[in-house]
Amino acid sequence: MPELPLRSDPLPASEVVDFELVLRYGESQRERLEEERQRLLAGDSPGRIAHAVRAADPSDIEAVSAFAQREGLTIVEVDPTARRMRLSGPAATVNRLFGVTLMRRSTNERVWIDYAGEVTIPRELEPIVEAVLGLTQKPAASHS
Amino acid sequence: MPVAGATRVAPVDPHERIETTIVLRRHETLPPIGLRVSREEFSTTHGSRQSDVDVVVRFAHEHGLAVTAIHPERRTIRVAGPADAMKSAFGAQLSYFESSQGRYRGRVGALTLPEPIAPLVDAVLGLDNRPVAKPHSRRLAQPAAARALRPTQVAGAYNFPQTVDGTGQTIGIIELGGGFKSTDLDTYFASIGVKRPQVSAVGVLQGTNNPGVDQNADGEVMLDIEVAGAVAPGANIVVYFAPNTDQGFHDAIAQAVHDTTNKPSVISISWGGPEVNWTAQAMKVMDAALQDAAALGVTVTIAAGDDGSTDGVQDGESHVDFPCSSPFALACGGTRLELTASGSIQNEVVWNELPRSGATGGGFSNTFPLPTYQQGSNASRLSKMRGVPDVAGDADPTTGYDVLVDGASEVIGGTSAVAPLWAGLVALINQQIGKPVGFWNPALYGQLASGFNDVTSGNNGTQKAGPGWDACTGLGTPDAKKLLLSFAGAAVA
Repeated sequence: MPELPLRSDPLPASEVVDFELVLRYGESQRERLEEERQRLLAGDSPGRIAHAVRAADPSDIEAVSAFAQREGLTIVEVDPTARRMRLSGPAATVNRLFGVTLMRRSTNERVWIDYAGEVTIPRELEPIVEAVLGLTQKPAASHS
Repeated sequence: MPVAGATRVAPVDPHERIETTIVLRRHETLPPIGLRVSREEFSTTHGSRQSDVDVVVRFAHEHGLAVTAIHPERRTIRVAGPADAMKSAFGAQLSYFESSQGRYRGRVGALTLPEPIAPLVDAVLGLDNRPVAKPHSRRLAQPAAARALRPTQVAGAYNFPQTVDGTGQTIGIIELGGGFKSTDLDTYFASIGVKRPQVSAVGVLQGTNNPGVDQNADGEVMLDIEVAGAVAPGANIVVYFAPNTDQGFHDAIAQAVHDTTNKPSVISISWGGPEVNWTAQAMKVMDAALQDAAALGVTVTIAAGDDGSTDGVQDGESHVDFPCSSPFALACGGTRLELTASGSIQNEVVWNELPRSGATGGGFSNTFPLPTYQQGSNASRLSKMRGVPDVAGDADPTTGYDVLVDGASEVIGGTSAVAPLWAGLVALINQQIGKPVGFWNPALYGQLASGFNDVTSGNNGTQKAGPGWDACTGLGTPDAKKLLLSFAGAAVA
């Protein structure tokens, strides 16, 4: 069960947070994905494919990098194969870009970062970015 | 340098795939990508220059090497490719050596890099894979608790093959907390008379093997390792520890699926949350990572949850757990298993000990439509949405598994035990048939459907068991002997 915070305060504007963007598949794969999905679910294996085939397009990574640079975000890690880019930046910038208010929440035992509002992907990053993760440290799962 | 006393035994196969890490020089002046903020850990003075990265990436591509990761803050670029491409790029003669520490790959002579590249590179790591020390085995054996079942007894009841032990397979296990103590594993496997499997930890983001802090999470970790390891002791077990966040969970799956070093052929996940607690974005990309697994031939077994048909949500409706509700998951439900004196199945029903001791998750997704492979099964008569679980196994804590956690014997149940049980079985089958079963849900609902003990009695709240597929135990619990016979039949046909 998610904990209920006793305190919630907006993060200071300059506090730096770390988060992750998950990119779409590279162009060579993109159009085939839905078809592949249907084939896999029907038991028609396309045969083993190379990891690299699943990677993000370098041009998409460049576009996100340029966006990050312009908006004052730091690139922490780029993992093309898993289509992940980790970025960091000040809370005020993240709030503005992704339409949220980053919060620090706490109980007597625990302190965690979370957000209020709903994450929206900046128009310029659509349709390249499929998800923004890591803006909350709320437990995502429990063990069964 | 070769290990003392090592002898060179054979040149490396030119096609052997090798992954190396190139360490770039430090950046002396400006941040790689324009920035005002600087955080201690990503200190710009320690990062690499973007221009250096570009040059080295181009160099790698020119030599037929794939770039598998770029970490500017760690100044590392990982590249992968066949041995002969490594030789062309780095001038390295690679050979196998035999030493008292075992066989390893090493290089002969110095590395050479072309003039424009050499000054940018501090090191090239990983061409060698000299062995690291193995843990010492320890004594010994705590007596097992009386009523519980050992994983090996459950495997016996389900007719798991005895002639294979998972050798050559890697089982990946995803954990979002907790940790394991090597000494506990030594003790546990000695106590059940099973060879101790190789178990290693991989950190994802800030995740680490961190035993002794959260005993509940340690229980999950030990249950997963001990069940998978008891079933397939010859398999290599790699545990991916990630923070329990949406990012941590996604990255752990992505890292395990794309782990070209350990190459898991099956991944076990005993963590999840009700679909309603997930954002659409997070579900989409985690489902995509599971599609990657399916396309790459990696089976992913995922626990169906322990709170019956509500999945613990207090709104009076039925809910299922994600990520098991992804159509690319092998969703694992739970039963209550009683054995005869000789160890065969006496009685098996749906696990339902609500309200006190849980019940198997199961029902229909609110997100994912009915997959093709469930068309024609009972799932398609009950819903237009993905039904879970797909399969089941012993999970009731009253017939639970005897495990050792933080030095103490415990009996633990839950569908958490079923995901590693099936992962162990997949490793055995992969070894037996000589190739990975990969994403085999369509086969399980098709030509392998006779390989199950159909569980027809019980409920988990709103869902009831019955003949054929049901939303409590899926197709049933494994009869591995029949599953393997079906494989043989399919191969002949």
